[in-house]
Amino acid sequence: MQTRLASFLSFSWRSFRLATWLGWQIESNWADPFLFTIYSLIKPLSSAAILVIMYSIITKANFDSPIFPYIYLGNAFYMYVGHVMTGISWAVIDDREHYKTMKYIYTAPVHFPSYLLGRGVARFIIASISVVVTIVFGMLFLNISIDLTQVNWFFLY
Amino acid sequence: MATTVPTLPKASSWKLFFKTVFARAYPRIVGQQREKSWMFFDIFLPILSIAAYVYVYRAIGAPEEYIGFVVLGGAMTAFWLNVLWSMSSQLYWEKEQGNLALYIMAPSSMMAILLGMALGGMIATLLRAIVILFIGGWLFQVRFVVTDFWTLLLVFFLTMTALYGLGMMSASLFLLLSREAWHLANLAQEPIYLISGFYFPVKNLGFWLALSASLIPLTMGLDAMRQLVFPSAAQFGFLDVRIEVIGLSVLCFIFLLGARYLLNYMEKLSIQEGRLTESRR
Repeated sequence: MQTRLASFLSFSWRSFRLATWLGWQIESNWADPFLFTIYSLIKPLSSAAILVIMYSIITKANFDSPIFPYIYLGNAFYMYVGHVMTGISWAVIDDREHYKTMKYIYTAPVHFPSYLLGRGVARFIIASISVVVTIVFGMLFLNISIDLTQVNWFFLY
Repeated sequence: MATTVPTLPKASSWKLFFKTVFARAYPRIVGQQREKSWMFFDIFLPILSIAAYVYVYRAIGAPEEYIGFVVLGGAMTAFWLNVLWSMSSQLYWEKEQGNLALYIMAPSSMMAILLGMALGGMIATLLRAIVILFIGGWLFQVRFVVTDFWTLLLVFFLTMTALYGLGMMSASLFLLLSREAWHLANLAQEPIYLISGFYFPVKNLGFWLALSASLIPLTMGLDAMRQLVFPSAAQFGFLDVRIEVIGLSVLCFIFLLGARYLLNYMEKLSIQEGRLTESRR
């Protein structure tokens, strides 16, 4: 019984690990590294900047109001929703419609749910970079005070 | 017994040009209506995005005009997304799918193919933008008061011509790209929403930044439309509407001419070098 479980876990882990590597290659290495870096930084910052400008026009740049960090952090973490939701579903569309590899992968000896989860990890990593960049930008330039010692990390994750 | 082979009359010159425009526009318009679920999401998702910005404005106590600015800006995003994904990157997708060679081999002008793509996309997107505008206006109680209908129509026409001209021009540039075309198109979303003032008056970015952003036709187009649809928006306007009309006319000329030049250049380059991608790939 234990041997079967260990074998299943090893099988799933191998599928997940390789799919993660493949997903990352598709998302990052297939693009110019400079373009990919710009893409990963400019896109989330622009999205945050739209809200910052909207807020500063109306409130005359009153960034000390408690509603500002509320809006800013909400926007930053919302990036996970888009990236994670599209991460796995887009992998299916990409493999089936674009690369036409879905049937080969499905019939190959891989644990398919682990494979899909792995493909989604790349977008999760990109989303995490975007979230961190947005929050750090807010802390450095927009006076958003986050005391990292006060964060309840257990509940956050 | 001699058999006679029926011959079809061949279209030539302008007739061929317009037939090609129609032929390329047709699948765009019909294709958009085929998948009903796509139509629903194409309308529903932008409204969700508009709703998010509207509620942010309401939460911080913005004047009601700003809600109207967001609804109008949100409706116009449909055109930008169409230009970006279905114009600029279209020839790249066609290359990926193997259709580009057929287009080039066809005895017709590539300009006609691009124009057909633009017209078809514009009509299909216009229907969606109108629905988004009406639903958004109704949901958030926006009052549109058109002060000068004909100028509004002229501004819209010039904005669309310049915008799709930009799309036709960048379609040639995107041909040079390989897989990063997707990243580049994706990159031109939020930053353009930001600098073109889709959700706030572009005047707030400062004169020089707003002027630079005016190279994207939607910046001046949206600013002029806001001034013509919301009478109180004149105070938020970046430039006088008449200046913006002149600016948009200049952009139309530059982008359409640029599209023709770049298309010819790419064709010449591909004949000389025997490829259509950049050298490092």
